[in-house]
Amino acid sequence: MVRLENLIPQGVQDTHSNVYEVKEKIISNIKQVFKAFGYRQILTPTFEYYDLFLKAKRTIRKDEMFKLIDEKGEILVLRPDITTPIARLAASYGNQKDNRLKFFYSTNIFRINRENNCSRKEFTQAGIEYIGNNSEDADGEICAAAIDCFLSCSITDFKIDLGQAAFFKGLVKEINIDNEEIKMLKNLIEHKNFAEVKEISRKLNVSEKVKNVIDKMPYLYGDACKVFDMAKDLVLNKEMEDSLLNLKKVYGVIKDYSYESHVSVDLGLINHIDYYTGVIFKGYLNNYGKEVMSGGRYDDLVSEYGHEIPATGMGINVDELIEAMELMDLIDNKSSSTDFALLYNEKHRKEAVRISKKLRDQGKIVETDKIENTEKYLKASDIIEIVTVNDELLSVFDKKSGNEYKCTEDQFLNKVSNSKEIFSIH
Amino acid sequence: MDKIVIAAAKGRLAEEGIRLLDLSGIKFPDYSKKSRKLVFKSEDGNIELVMVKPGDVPVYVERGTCDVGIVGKDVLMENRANLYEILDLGFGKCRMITAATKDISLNRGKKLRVATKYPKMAKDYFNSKGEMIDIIKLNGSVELAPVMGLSDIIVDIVETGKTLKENGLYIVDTICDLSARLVVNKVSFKTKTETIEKIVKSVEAILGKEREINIENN
Repeated sequence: MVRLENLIPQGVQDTHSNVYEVKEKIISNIKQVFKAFGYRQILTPTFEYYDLFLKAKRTIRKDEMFKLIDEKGEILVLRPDITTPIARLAASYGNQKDNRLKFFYSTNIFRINRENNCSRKEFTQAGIEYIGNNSEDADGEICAAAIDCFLSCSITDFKIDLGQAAFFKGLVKEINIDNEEIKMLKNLIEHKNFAEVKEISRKLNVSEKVKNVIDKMPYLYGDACKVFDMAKDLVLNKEMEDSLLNLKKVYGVIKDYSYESHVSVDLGLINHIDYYTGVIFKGYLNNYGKEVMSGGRYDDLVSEYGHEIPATGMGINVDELIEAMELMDLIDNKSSSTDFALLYNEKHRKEAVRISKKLRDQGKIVETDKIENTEKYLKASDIIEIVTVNDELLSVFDKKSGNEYKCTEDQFLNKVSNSKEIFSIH
Repeated sequence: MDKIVIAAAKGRLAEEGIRLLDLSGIKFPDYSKKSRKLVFKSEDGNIELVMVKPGDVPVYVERGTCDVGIVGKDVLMENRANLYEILDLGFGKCRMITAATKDISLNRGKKLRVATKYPKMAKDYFNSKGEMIDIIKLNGSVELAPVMGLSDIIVDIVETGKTLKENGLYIVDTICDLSARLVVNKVSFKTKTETIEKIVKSVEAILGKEREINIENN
């Protein structure tokens, strides 16, 4: 029989201290970027009503949510997404037409993922939402902030893909087909299934001109200028024209940040277009097969909660980012160590504790223990120096060099405070 | 040049795929049909080919362990992997069908017992027909199920239909046509665009040539 008490469920994991430190460091870099752009940190509850996520035309399927039942029989879900709760929260501020709300978050998301045997069911996402600004400048800022996040983690080999949801929506208006067929066409374009897209368009009862546009949809990717050039001849109506113009404007903003070398365009990015209303972002790292960032403009979401406020944002999957960085050898795996272990016999405990306090006040990491346990500290690899406090002078042993010297308390403290050497990574 | 890893579905699809790649200038000198090796390097060392079980190709490609895959459409439909399905390679042609030993009237108010290796496809197909079914997942020799009375009908792939005939089954309906596909990891397609486009284009050119020859011969 399997003893479940020793196991953890599939898709979740313990975070050990060395990994935790790396993660904290990366999150703190990312948060620094968000703060520098004027975003303020918020947090929404870990669980909320199921209805909240059902109401919005969401990117999350029903069977992807972890459900709980509360004492009244209401269905709750573990936070399957954070943008929806933030939209709810933003609406609670009332009509903010003349205001802007800039939020950032770094929190865990829970999702049931049946398809892949080893994807995470709990992962950390860090991101920003810019609510109350419908201009291309806001979209450009979101994209620039995402790029700054990657750069802040010393990642240079990455790519941001820009899409525009309204371009395809405009195209759909020209084709008189039912929802099932749209879904199928969308799916084929999304999968760049060039051959089958052509097959479908041939069967559609539309003009040759429209057929040509459908056939070209999966090819509209790559260098921004090249795609804009190709797409301008494919515009069929005002909606498509506006969407293309908007995408060009967003690209223009990104150019003003001098980040255009990181950006490419794909007008076939249409998997979540029920939800996105404008520009769509996807972030990839070279040689890492999964997207690490995604986002876009979602002007309709906040209105679900009573106020029509435009919004745009993006989120970075921190766990995927770390995994990719490990592969790229960008992770400094040095874990933090203890500067001093002060070992005392019971008579001198008070003295040892007093010295420890002084050291800690100087910012050092100090552990104290009974002298009988010396062996433990000699063996441990994360201890730098061992200080023995007994009847005689202090005895200071540097484990790395093997040097040992004796001195008074004052001499020791002076030496520590004068030492320029950085003892440990804190 | 970017390094590219190709996953090929072990067996006939891999053989055909390697032949196509060879014609388009990507040669794997170590490869022979009899070889038991699972990893082959191209002449210039930039392309690596790995042999995996057909059902595992989408897994390798979707997770980015491999950039490109050669795999049957049946596997893609059953797995519904999130990847780019760039090319119809034209070989490995077959059909997904339903077959039974006797006349099957649909919508008869009783649940139909369906034996198959492709439970997702079977479910989708009968759902679209409004038919209530119970699925019996088998791992091979599906034709046996209706003969032995294990199921009323099967969902399976056929090439010629010979096996069906010999076992006293006839085709009830064709669900769809199938063939081998060239699939690409979504991120690789974006980060190694040039290299992958080059491979795709040269394979496409060869496919075009072969198609012309076929038309002429016919």
